[in-house]
Amino acid sequence: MDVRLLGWEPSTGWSAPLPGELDGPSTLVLAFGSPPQEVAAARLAELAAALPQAQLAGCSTAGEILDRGVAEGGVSVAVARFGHTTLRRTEATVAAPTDSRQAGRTLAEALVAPALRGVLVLSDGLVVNGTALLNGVKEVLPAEVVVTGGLAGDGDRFAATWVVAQGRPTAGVVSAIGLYGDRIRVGHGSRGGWDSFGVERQVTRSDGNVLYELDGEPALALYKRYLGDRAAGLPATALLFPLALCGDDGAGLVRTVLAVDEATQSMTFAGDVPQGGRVQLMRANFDRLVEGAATAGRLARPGQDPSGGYLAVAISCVGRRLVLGERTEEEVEAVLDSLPPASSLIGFYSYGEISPSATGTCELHNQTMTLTTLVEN
Amino acid sequence: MHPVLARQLRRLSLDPDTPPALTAWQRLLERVERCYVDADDERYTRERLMELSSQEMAALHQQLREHDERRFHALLAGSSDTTIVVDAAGEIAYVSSSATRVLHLATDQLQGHPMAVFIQRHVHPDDAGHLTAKLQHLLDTAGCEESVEFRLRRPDGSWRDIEGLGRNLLGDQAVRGLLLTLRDVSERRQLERALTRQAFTDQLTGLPNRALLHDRTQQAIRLAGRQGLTAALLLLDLDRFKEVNDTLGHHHGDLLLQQVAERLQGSLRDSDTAARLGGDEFAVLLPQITSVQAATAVADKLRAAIEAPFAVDGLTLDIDASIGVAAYPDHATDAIQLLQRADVAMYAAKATHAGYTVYDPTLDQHNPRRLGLLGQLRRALAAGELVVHYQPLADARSARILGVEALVRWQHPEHGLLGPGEFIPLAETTGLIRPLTSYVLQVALRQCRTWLDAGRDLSVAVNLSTRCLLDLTLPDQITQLLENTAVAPERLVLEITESAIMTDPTRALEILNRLHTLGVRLAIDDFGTGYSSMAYLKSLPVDELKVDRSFVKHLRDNQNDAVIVRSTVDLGHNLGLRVVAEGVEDQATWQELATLGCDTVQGYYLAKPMPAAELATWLATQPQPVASHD
Repeated sequence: MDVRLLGWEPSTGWSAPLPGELDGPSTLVLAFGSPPQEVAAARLAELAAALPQAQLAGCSTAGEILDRGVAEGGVSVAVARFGHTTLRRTEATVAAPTDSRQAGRTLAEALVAPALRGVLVLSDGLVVNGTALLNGVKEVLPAEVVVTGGLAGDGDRFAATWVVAQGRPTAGVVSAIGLYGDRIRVGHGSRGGWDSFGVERQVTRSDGNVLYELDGEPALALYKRYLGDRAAGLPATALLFPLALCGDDGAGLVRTVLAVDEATQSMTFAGDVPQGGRVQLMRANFDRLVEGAATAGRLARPGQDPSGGYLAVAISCVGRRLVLGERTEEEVEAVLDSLPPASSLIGFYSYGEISPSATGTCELHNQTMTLTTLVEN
Repeated sequence: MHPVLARQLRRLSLDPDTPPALTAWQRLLERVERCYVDADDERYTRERLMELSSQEMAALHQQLREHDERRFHALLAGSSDTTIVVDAAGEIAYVSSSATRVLHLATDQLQGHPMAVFIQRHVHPDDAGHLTAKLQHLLDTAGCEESVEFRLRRPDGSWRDIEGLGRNLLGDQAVRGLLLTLRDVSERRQLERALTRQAFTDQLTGLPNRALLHDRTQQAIRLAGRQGLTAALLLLDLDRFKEVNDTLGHHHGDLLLQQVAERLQGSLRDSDTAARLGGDEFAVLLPQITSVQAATAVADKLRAAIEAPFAVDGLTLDIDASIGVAAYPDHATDAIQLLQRADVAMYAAKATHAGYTVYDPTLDQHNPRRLGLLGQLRRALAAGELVVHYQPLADARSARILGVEALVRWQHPEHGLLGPGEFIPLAETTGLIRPLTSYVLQVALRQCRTWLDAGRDLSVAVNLSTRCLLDLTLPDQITQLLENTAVAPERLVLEITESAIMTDPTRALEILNRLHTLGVRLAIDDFGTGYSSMAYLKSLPVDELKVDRSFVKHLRDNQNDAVIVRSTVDLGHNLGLRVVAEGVEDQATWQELATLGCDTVQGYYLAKPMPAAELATWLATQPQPVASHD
């Protein structure tokens, strides 16, 4: 397994020549970026030209991760040529949130095979109901297939996201890469580091991932009260207060805001907020966020460490970046420091993370650092 | 160096030891400024969420507390009691909203006001002092718990009986005061007072009855014993009264008796007691006299008062009285003996037409009829002259025949059919009562078996006298009789009077408990005529109350009797007892009793007591109950 990392910045261009020598059907190219969409399209075209046989996947971000750094407006790229692993790429379109479950099924049905070991899902970040998408995936795939990934981001704007489909940045798409073979090992770890606070509230009105009322009060009004002056920064600033789903049903899941609607005083979350359930606001604790990232890194090291290190894909929540601000790179460093020295780290800040939960089934997470490690024996 | 600053320098490729060029310097400042802004934002957010969430927590806490308090008040408001908390300073710190219902006072008339003001304004002056002292004692004594009782004036001026419990909970942080739980017990007290009055008063004349006379005689003997004085009892029997009754009817007889009572009272001092013992028999107690001679002077005076003609409904009636005089300590040592001796003396006076006779031991032999009957009773028992008649009892609503009461009669060869009143008291004094009761039980149970064999399921009730009730061998004897006749214990009802129980309550209770354990049913007979202790009644293992015929008789035209019957039915039902009404003589009374909730009725309207053979014919005309064979 041969891995190269490179980046593109508007001022300096590509950091290194594109590694055309790694091209092949078992080569995976991951590209995460946040330049204007036409700029992204041009960069993706350059990659496709240099690596015509490779499987190209990627999405828009709320910040790109490359090695120890976090940047914005550029593109982070990882090129990995596998020696003993087969890749298959598939895509499905999602025009409305209600299409999500079927999209999940479509993707899984295209990939499912006895040799399938892992699936990396990159999804549109605004239209998709992540919970429904994964429910569709789980209905088809066997439990032992590791499913990880994330929802595309759009800075703190929440306006337009894209996913690479047929080599081009496309809205309303979910893509998935299947990894097949006996030698591929897929590790995963996911941690938050947020603390619940205050009273438990009841979800008195919601519809899927759209939350209307908590304890009979419009949810948006509650958030505005808590945000005070920072309400001007909605919907991004709502990320400061994720919702913890309480009790047995919630299973410790965290929900983050994707959009707000002043007209209906509602808020759209990346996953379902079941009516009748109880929720609690959460707040960030700087040290615990960084500590959570380090733990995610440790969890994603399955068994004995490989001599050549891992290709590690870090997908972290935009909400963490908002809180960590200038100190965002500390969590990236914490992840890298928790991996073996020769590991390569790429990733992005997302609108939702996908990773197996404690019970082993894949779930949509929010506000977490989610790490996927790939290595061949 | 702070790791964030070190990282910022590294990202901009700056050396901490070398001043940067202007562009690099500006980029560094931008990043450092972002750090400050981040820190400000973070602090703003943190402070805001702490403030808001602590407000929400406080509101939630308040909400929970209010919820608890609302629940607490709702519980108290629904209670039939009212709860008052008096603080250490004697001020009413809390009163539950049920005060409006129980005390007829608005809570704001109480809360915040001194308890002393409440007592002064609303509590009966005769009870105020005692209540104040008791509350003070309660307040002064940690952990103290005592009952309180007082009369409370309602806004309409009427008085209510209030009863309750006070507990010193000054040490309890949740209360910090004296906790009073009060309830209105007026209805219960009213019934108790009515029953007591009834129990000690002769209804026709308003004079004390036999029970009260007995009580006063006992007191008089105790007092006379201490002071070295004499107490005399005069027993009066009207001569020729029977003629009045027979020729003019009961109405004139009753009017005459009322006038006699008035004249007797008019001839006595306040400290003396005139009583009616029943029929035309009266008694006068002279509690403090110097000698028997003083008593004979009163006897003369009384005779003179009675010999003067009576005007009754336009008729002039002349009667005489025979008076027996007995005195303590000269002739008797206790109240019962004193009455017996006066009785003997009275019979002697009547026999000799002496007007009055003072007791003399030699007189005891000169009571020919009584002594004669006593002598014949033993023989009569052996000769089968005692017969048992049966009076049916019916369900008040369905009129179904439930059972019978066994009543003994003496078929006397010379005097004809004698009622139990004529020979049972005699038997009681001699011990003959035990074989007599055994005989009745045996005959009644055999009859019960005969009915069962014929498919008639009837319970049978037998009266137990005081002496039998206190007979420790009674339970075994009854067990044996039930076995011999193969009658289930629940078909036997034993009727006992309250006064029989009160003669020796401890022993009576022991025997009643044993009978109850056997499965035999127990009924309180003549309920309301003895001293009725509600508290004691609760502790008795009885199954039925038989309301005395005297209340039933005037049920429809005497409001007081109606109240007593209604209260007795309620009381009986509250204690889980069946209530039987005796002496039902017309259909309207039966209807009224059924409306009042009375369970069972008995009386002439249904059927008179009759021999078993006659009863069989009578039963054939009645609805047939389903027999159960055991």
